[in-house]
Amino acid sequence: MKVQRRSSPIKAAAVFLVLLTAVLPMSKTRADNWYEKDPGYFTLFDEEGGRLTVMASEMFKDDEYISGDNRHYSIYSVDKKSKYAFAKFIGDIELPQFEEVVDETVETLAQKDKNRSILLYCTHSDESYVPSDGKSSIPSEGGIYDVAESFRDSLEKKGVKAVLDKTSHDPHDAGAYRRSRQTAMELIRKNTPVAAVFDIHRDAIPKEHYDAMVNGEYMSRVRIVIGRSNQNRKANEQLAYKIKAIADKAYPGLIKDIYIGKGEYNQELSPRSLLFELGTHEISKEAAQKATDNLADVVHKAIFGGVFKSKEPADKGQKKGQAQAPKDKRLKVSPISQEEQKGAGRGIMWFIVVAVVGFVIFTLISKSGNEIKSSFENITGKKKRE
Amino acid sequence: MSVGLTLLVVTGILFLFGLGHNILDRMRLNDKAALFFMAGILVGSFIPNIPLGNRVSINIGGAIIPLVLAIYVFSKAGTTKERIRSVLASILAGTGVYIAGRLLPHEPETMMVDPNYVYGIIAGIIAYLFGRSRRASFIAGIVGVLLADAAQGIVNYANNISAPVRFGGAGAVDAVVISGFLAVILAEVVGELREKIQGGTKKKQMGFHDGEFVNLVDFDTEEETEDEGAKEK
Repeated sequence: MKVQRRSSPIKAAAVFLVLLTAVLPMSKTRADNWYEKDPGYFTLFDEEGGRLTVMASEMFKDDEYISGDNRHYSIYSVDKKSKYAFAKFIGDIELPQFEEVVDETVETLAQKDKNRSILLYCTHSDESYVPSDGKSSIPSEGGIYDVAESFRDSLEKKGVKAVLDKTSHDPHDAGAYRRSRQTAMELIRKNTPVAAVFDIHRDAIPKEHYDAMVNGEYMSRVRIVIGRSNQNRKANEQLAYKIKAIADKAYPGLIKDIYIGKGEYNQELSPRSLLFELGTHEISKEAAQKATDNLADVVHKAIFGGVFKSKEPADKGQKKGQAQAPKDKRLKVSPISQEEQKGAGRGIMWFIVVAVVGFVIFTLISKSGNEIKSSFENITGKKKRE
Repeated sequence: MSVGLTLLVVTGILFLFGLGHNILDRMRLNDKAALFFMAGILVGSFIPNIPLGNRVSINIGGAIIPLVLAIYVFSKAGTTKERIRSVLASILAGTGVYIAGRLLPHEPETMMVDPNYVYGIIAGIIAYLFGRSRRASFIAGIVGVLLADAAQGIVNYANNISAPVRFGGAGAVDAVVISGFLAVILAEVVGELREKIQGGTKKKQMGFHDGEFVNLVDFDTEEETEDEGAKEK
């Protein structure tokens, strides 16, 4: 059979370039301010039709949601047109429990590994707070940096070595995470050993979802976002759960919820890597900055251990007629380094299994029986490679 | 350990066990050279970026070594036509990656493929379509992402955006490295699958000669020598 001659690659490339050039003028950055034109957020409902939450970005089937009251949902259906998503309840999350401390001397619990750094960066350098900054997006100098600075300062006050990289990753487009990945790596390179890496954002949903009174003070809530595609997901979830467990007791209402969405968010770079949404574009920057102090305390305890006061209601075992006044309990948290990091190892194992299975399938596709036999002989050294 | 690092280690182990020879042979690399380059990428990733001027820097593991590898592979290209195709595929892949960065939704959760891999896949597909070989795919995968970064730097400079350009700044886990490896793997898998589907190579007259697939009947027929989907039977 005669082999057909292909058309010249130069001609084909020219056609391709012309087509690309035609598309280019139509291209517009799908920046975060899409919510300004249209209520661009998705609403999540449970099976009974109750509204669970809203998200500024698109929801997908198999995304997971952990509500403020620690109920775990999995999204089974998404209607893109109406921007409605539906989730089924799959159980209550079991957050870590903490031992009560009676002995006063334990207050000075040894806090090891203080030389490990907490690294901060902002993928979306333009994110700003309308009431304080005047607009929702200020290229390269977003109000988000002021919030990240507050968080860094609060961590430093706790004696933590915190580093904020203020590199701009503009424009706010699909390449932003690729560029912020370079910042995260640069931070890790320069500040090893690393305790944790946090990407600081602000959300883009209505204000009421982030308004909160925490221990009698007005501030913004915080949402934790985890990428479900990253192989450190389990380890990062463990950290998120620990943060939520401490916050729920020490600063009830501070952690709004946890969203486990599609994507990696560069979280595969560290088994202690999370994305924090500190408020939303409609909330004041000061409210977000106020929250950073409490968040720093929680993160510090979650990673380095310590003792904190729980603001939980009094025990149920009280006699009838007694007022249910909050009773401060002192709880002890272990440093995260002393705990098992089950998730990190599991993620790597899965990746290796997938790589090996993929390779075996590829070998079966590409080689004949004799070729496979010959390859094995090469590996076992029975036959020398030519 | 990140996906990128795990990928490099797994690939290194496969090469050590002689399982990646198909790809290596066609890239004109031996096991030692391949491992040397991969070790360089890994070690270079931990060395701080080298500044190239105001807001521009380059990483040894993420850009310099992959670029050296791409140039080496380019120098070993079989024919002038393959070199032209490599250059074209690189420019097109760079254009594709740059445009993808502008057109795709900005949040990873709204993208079909995570940003870490989408550029590798885009560069890989474009490189395979226009490069038609593992070598050209690899070159386009590496150079395409670097060109897209350079274009972004120029646009940022023109628009007075202070964002720096850090070529291969994330080292072994940068889109540059992931893209190069993905592109060559994609070319290999697609090439092999195509051949399997059509029941063996259509180019029975071609054979493996001196590290190159050539038309054994007529060595002057350049057109057929570049499609490495053809395989010795």
